[in-house]
Amino acid sequence: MAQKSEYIQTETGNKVSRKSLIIGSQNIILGGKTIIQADCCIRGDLRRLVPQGQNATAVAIAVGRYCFLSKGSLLRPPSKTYRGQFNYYPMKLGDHVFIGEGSVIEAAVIGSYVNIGKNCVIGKFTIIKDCVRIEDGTVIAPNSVIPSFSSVEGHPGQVVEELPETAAEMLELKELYKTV
Amino acid sequence: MAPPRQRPGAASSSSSAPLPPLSIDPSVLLSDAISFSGTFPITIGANTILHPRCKLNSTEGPIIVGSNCIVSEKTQLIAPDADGLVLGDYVLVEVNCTIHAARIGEGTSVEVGAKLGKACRIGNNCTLSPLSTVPDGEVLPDYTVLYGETHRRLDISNTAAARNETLLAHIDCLKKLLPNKAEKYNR
Repeated sequence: MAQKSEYIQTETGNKVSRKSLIIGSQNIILGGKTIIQADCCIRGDLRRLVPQGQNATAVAIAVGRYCFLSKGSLLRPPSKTYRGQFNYYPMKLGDHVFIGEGSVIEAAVIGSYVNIGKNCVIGKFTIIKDCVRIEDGTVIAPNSVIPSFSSVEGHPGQVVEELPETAAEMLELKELYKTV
Repeated sequence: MAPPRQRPGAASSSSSAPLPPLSIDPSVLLSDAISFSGTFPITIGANTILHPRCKLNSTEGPIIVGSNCIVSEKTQLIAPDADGLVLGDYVLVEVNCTIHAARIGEGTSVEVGAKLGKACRIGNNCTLSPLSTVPDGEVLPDYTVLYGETHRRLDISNTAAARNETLLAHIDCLKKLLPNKAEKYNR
């Protein structure tokens, strides 16, 4: 009997594990060639609520190309009270973003070429710029901004090192996509 | 006709086992694929929200969740002993937590990935920051903030009422966003 493969491949080359939990898929955009591993959870249902009659983009989570979401990672749009109204806000990931096992992401924006290690917690409304490495077990405080070419570590996460100009080459995930 | 079962795989171990005795207020929002296991009763108060895939295990004792609480996905609530686990009102439990505590006081927020040891007791209006751990049997007084690797301080900001109000707004928002699957758990 033919073995059912673990991944479902979409037209744009995304590979999504059958064991992942994707809620509210109508509010999620995957840019293509993104890999989503088992037990990964994406909360597209936590979208922005707007008063009736107003037009709103229904995107809760946008993911770029060549992203890799490891086992047990979790993407959850951030929430806050703004002008007396509690709401969820969209989350955007760039290209070549690697998210390690068991990490919980509640960032507002993550740039391209970002590597997030295992068991990290990225706080609500964090903005991570391009070419950033976040070491295993880092906790980034809510509302922080991580500059480009930095390596972040600790609890709370602080910039400990600057990455070289060639960081984008090191953090590229095209090869990783081919291995799955 | 067979009685309606939970979707296979939704709650791995408990899908075939009978549910524990549930006493759930009609205003509670239960999401899809919540796992209830054990034999002791589970009580959930008014207006509480349970996100998908949270696990409540009452094998060792009863679980009582107060009103206006939020329990997020991938969180486990495990009763430590026959005295059970009691969550007060206005408790926010974020994702990936493991809660083996005996008591969590009113207005406490437990943030992402916190681990609460066996039979520990958390006071009212505490904040446990992400990835913090509480040792077994520990007693945390009211208004404690656990942060960093092992740091502690007292919260003197006097914002407990404001926090509760935010939590109520959060619950309102979630009630509009999440579908209620409460009928799935009725027996």
